Amino acid sequence: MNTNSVLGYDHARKEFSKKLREANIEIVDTLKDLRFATVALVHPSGDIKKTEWNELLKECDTDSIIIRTSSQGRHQKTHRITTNGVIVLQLQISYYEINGLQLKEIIEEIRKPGIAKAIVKGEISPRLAKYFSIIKNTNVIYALTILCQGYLAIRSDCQVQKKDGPIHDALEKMQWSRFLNSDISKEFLNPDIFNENEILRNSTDLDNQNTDYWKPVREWMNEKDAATEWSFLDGNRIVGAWKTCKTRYLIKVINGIKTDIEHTPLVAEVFLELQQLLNGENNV
Amino acid sequence: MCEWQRLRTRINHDWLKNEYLKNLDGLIIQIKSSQSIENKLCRELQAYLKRWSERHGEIEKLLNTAEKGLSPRTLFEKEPLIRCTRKNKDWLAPLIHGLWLSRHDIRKWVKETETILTEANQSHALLQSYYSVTQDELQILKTLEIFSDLVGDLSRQISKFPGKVITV
Repeated sequence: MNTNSVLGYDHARKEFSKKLREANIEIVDTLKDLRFATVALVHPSGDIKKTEWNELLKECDTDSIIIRTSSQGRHQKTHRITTNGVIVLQLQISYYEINGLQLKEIIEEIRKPGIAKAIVKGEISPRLAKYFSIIKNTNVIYALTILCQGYLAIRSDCQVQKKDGPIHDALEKMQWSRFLNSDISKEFLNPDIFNENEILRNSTDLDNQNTDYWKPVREWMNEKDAATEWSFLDGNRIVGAWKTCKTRYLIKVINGIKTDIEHTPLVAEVFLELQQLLNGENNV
Repeated sequence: MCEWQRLRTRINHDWLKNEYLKNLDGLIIQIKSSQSIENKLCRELQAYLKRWSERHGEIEKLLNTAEKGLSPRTLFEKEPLIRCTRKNKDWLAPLIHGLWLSRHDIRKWVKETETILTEANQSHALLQSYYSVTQDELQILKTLEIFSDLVGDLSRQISKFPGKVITV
């Protein structure tokens, strides 16, 4: 057996095996055989006893990497390094959402020095973010993406026709035009968006601290565990450094701290930032 | 993990995929190796057919609730969006649901999955009739294999639904 190899194991011997074959990864018959791997990709299943796992982890070399997969994704299960230095990573999306090419991409990236250990620390390279980012405490992220979409929707007039700029890009990513032209909009689009557009614009205005629209986020950030949410945003490094990211500016504006940034493009840029972050997470 | 996802895990991952399908596959292997459906296997087959009759409704319910359960509209029932005023919620929640539906074709996925479920139900009915009326072993085995394949397809299709509420 090659001792510097990428090996795969699928306890169910079905779907994940197909993906391994697509990626030309050698499939072993037993969990124990993975001890020879430098990088092991494994779909375990509940039938595997804890003792079998522990045996494997004991026999693997220091710095060897085990990537666990499942049909459901391993949301919020932490990555870790065992006492003998084996790096165990949890793929955060279901193997149904991955093809052989992506498996190859993961392996290529993960074999680079320091990459796997960095993932355990939460420092995940952009190429691997969609596979390994563990996104916790997402309440504010989700709320902001929703509020941004509403804010942009009622300011969408003419913006779709413009061919560039963050507002145009955000509306494109929201698929606003497609939605307006679909039957779904007949079912779900409240005519007030057009009939009471001026009122809605005023009631969602970021300049006006008395409006209710952004209040849920403002209150939540101020009274709940803002520290956790902020460190979460920081830890996930939304599109580069936190200090320059637009979400940080928007949160300042929501909290009544004046900035010299124009609001509608800012909201659009925030939506684009968060969309990028969450798309990595969702990858649907 | 949202409520719908929890329900899916219980029905699809825990029961359909890791219990029911494994049992069906095991039964097929046993019937093939014994080359006849003996009394014991007959009882097992009967039990699995009955189990499907009892539980396929849960899969139907899972599919019927997919759009509602996976919608970002559910976030208006949780912090911090639960603090939205009624007025804002009235226009924003349906807008967000509609935008999400036009980006992720959940209705199409549900329809495709329902088609597989219908085929599985038809195959189950056929199996039931072969078992109780004709007792033709060859037909029973052949239909059992088709039924098992359909149950496998159904489980894989349900696994492909989004694992969480998506807002973008």
